[in-house]
Amino acid sequence: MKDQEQIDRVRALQWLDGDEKMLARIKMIFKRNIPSQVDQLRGFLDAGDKSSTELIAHTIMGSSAMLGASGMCDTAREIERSAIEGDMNSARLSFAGFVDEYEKVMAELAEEGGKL
Amino acid sequence: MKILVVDDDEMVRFVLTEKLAESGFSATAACDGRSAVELFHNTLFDAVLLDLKMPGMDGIETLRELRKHDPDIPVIMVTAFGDIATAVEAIKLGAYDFVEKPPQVSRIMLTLKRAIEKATLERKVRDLGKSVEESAALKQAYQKLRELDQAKNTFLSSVSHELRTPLTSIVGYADVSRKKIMKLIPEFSPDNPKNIKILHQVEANLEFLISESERLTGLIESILDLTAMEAGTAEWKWEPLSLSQVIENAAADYSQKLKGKGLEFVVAIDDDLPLIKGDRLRISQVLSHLLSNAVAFTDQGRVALRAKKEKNKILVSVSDTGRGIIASSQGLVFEKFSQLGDALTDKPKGVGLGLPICRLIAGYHGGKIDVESEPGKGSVFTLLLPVEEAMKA
Repeated sequence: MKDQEQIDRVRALQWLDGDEKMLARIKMIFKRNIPSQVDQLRGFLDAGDKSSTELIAHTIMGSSAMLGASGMCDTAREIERSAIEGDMNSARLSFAGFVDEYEKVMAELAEEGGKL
Repeated sequence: MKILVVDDDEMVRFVLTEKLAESGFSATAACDGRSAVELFHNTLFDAVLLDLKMPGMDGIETLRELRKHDPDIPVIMVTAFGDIATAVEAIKLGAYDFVEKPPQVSRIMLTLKRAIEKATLERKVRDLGKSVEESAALKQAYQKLRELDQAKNTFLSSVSHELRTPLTSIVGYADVSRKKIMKLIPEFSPDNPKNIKILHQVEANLEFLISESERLTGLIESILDLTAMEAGTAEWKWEPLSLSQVIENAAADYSQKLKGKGLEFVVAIDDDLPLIKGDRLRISQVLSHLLSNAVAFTDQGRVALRAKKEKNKILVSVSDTGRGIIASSQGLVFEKFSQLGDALTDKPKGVGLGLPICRLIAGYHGGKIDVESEPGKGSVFTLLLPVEEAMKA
């Protein structure tokens, strides 16, 4: 994987037993679903809603792990962990790093859009 | 074969249903527990793949509902980062096994096929039992088989999850730390507060790595210890033993920890304790575990370590003024993987092997270990060592 790549294609293909077509299709689902999930996460963080933050961060973590987007997965995990511990300040702090990773992943997906 | 896939993540639902269809299964997807239960009531399924963490009705609650309707349905839990408490709870409720997210398709297929095969075999055995006029002996054997199978599954699932959970954290934290350091190196300046903050984060990650590695090592040692004792292959070093000395050593080891937590520590050992034949290290292991539990579950008050002779027994007790254990869980604390944390309806601490090991050690010495406890007031663990038995060992 090149340094600038956010999506670890090799890792993602491991889960899918090497099915390239399936990877392309889950990328499409990811692109369609993730922006609204990120919006929800932002809203729950602003509202200080711990359990909803935990659940949506968990879902985002699972989706990004499946795609091989480890940076995004790690930061979502940080948010989930902070929410579980009830530390919403840390969750909000981690959100900035998460958005950074999320934007990089979306940019990469947009760039390879034609290949999907 | 009809499979129900329950997951709130559309990507997981999509991959699993597509791959199941490719493998010749008929897959139906539900995006939450409630829809799954509804579907389950209207359709006959052969197995269920069930997400553990979902909004609304979670995996455990859904599993309960599904098994109310069909107690024999094979259910495989799918979880991102399985924690032991929920893992054991699901297994106790009858889940066949766990697979971790992201779900590796080939592994899920294999687990699913095994689960269905097992359920089919169980049905055949049950039908056979009916056809020979429900032979009591066959039923008994079948029940025993199920119990053994359940115990094995519980053990294997718990162990594999307990091994994987710290490993997942170790790999994750190591990876995050590596990335942070790699990013920091080209632009590092000791005067930049952002750089210092990153270094502190890495330091915290490394501390976590060490503690998770130690937890893993402890778990592996406990499993090996327990397995060897259960198989009768553990090594024992029997010798004439002064319990007073062993108890004093244990007390010395823990006095600082108790003091550090602001707890009073009372040590009362009768002067006339007779020598017994025992294994010094194993008895120390029991005392250390009981004291360690007392420290962990006592936030204020006192911990007492007492030893006295009563008729032909030596009673060594560790009492505390901690949170105590609810009555229904007191018998479970000596069962494998029944953590004290669970019994206290609190977060689990440890892996739940310490007290089963203590019970085996007491048994090998011809003795036993008991607990008396009252929630909110504290617990007393008593190790009874029969002097004559111990001398014969």
